[in-house]
Amino acid sequence: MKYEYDGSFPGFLCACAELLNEQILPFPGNTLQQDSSVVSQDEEPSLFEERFPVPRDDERAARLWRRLEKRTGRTALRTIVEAYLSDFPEKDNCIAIMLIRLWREGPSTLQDLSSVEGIGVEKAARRSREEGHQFCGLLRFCELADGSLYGTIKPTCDILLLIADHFSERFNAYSFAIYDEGRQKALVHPCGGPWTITEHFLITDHRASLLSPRAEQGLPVSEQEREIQTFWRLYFDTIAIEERKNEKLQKNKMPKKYWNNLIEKS
Amino acid sequence: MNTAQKLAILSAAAKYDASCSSSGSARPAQKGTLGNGALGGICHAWAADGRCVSLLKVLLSNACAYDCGYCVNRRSNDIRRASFSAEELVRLTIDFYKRNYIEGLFLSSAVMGKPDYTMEQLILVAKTLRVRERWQGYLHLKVIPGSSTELVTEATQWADRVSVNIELPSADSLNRIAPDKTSASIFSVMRKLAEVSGFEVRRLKSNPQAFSPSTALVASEPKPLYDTFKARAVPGFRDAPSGPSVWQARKTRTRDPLGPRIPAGQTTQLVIGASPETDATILNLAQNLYLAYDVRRVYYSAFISHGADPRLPTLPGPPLLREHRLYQADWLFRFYGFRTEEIVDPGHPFLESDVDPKTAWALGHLDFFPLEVTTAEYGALLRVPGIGPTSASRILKARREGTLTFPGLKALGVVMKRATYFITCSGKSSTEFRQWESQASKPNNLRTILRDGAVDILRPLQLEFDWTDRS
Repeated sequence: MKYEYDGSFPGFLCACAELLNEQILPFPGNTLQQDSSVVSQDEEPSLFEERFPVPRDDERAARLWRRLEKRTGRTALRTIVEAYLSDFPEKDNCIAIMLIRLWREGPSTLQDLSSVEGIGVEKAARRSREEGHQFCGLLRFCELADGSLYGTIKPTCDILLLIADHFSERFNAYSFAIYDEGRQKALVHPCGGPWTITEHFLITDHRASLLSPRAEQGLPVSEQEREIQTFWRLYFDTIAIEERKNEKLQKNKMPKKYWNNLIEKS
Repeated sequence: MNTAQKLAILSAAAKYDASCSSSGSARPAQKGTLGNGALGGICHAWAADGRCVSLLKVLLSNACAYDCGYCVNRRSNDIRRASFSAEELVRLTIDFYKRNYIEGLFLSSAVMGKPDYTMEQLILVAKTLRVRERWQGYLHLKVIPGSSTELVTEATQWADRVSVNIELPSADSLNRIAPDKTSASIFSVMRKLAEVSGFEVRRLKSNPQAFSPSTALVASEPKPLYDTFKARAVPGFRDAPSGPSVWQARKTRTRDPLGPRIPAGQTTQLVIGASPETDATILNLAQNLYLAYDVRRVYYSAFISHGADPRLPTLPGPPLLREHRLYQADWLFRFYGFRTEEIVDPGHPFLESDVDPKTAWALGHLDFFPLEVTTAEYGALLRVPGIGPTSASRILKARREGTLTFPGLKALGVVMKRATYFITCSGKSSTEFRQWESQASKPNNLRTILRDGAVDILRPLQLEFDWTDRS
């Protein structure tokens, strides 16, 4: 059976709960049924595919989460969340099967790198963890007229959650927002905190043109902003050593897909 | 001169310092202030030469009283000179930092008149950032050889990391090319820094080609370094050299990334190709620095000539391939448990250029292979070309929970097209290996197969210079 969820994390957990029931209730200790899986409604079904839609139920999701936390501890679940946030193609199923195994066998299951789901979860989690780390560096804030900071990113994985603590600590004395333009959600941090993540963070059109760091006119940026950006570009260009020029290496380390939002590259 | 012009001159003057890392310090964020340290370091951009930009790397001034042949800022070089005011630099640092352009500041300077005066000016910037601006970002301060102990100690109070660059890997070259510096002034500062960061300084192992202990000012140390560590050979590996590797020695060291003084320790840099020392001399010095002063990183910087200086060779380009191989060897010290003597020796004083040093070692120790991956220990796994720390620890994890297979190894991240010639899995060799071995006349010998791409990319720029001309 394919269990379909609505694309949200609580929805995903509810679908996993269905799968867990199916796997556990009939014959305790039986082997996993290989044809069962969890699938997002965003994925196009194939022609003869039958799906069982599982409604999102936040309470049910929270219950499962608490039980899993008791059984496996926070560290294991952090890895699960990281894996879920990644763009790894097989992540849904790998995580679903891993959750069942975590429930049955305990947290050490995550170490099982000889299984498809073990390696899948590790790869998926690593992918978003690494991209999150990368954006701790690649994010560029621009200073608005009121002194708050605003930055736009377009990451492949859904990393706002993973970078929230880092930026909230480092810039705790600032109001800032980090906007994921691909997912249209934003991490918002008022001065002193705490941070929140706002889904469907739609900046109205005039605001969008005002806030985009690339827009040339009408920005409500601070007086200094343009000058500092010029300094940064100047520094970035000067620091490269001509005799060692290696643009392939540069692109390898700083993929082109990120350049749009980098002041020094756009 | 405006700030932009100064920034252009003073960042161009600082760019030949290879150090860019921002790791090792976990300076905590404080409520209501700006910044903190990220233990693993964060890269913020990559410049057109592919090197990471983590810190704002500038000189306070490039008006230098010294005349070191390798240095673009030497007194006798005809270039534009500039100096930042402390206030200008503080503003620039804060403005860059709060926009998340940088992880911190790397502040160095030419010697403005006297070392002590220069050090005072550097400290003024550091102190203003920390005290007045209450800034907690990463600060890498250059310590000027020859400055007083009090100033060196004060610098460590504000910085996360400090560095003194040795630049020339032997006392002879230093006397000849950098006559204003002495090895004594360099090493006494490094020694002080090691003590400040809580490390018990050891005697540098004597090496006739490199610095002798007397020039290194550590002759008075009562105990030689190698008495303090019990040598432990890599299991299953014969002819293990005596003494600990850097990797082993470091495992016994405790470091405090929250410590009040230079939590990220000290680093140094060696210029490659400006003087006639061999790789063996350079790597011996580097290993000794890691062991004796607990230097966190030794950077190697391919020499780029800046205008004609009669003391230095004219190169067709920077010796990037040689630099690359030295970095690979350096990694073998710090993460793979190798020692200098295993990589280079008097008979082979230079690293091979066709293959990386680990592969070169493996080709010279074919009797150590094939290695059985289902039972080999971590240190032995690390000896296999194509297996690194990440895949080695994954192998340990994976075989605890399940059975290893060749496709499984590939999934774990082992580079099979290299490793396949050196391992067995449950007693069996891989199909690729057996096919290769069964060929009557092997079209490619191992060395050709394992040759790496760095040669083709970097060799065109390789140093070709006959040092015998210069004696």
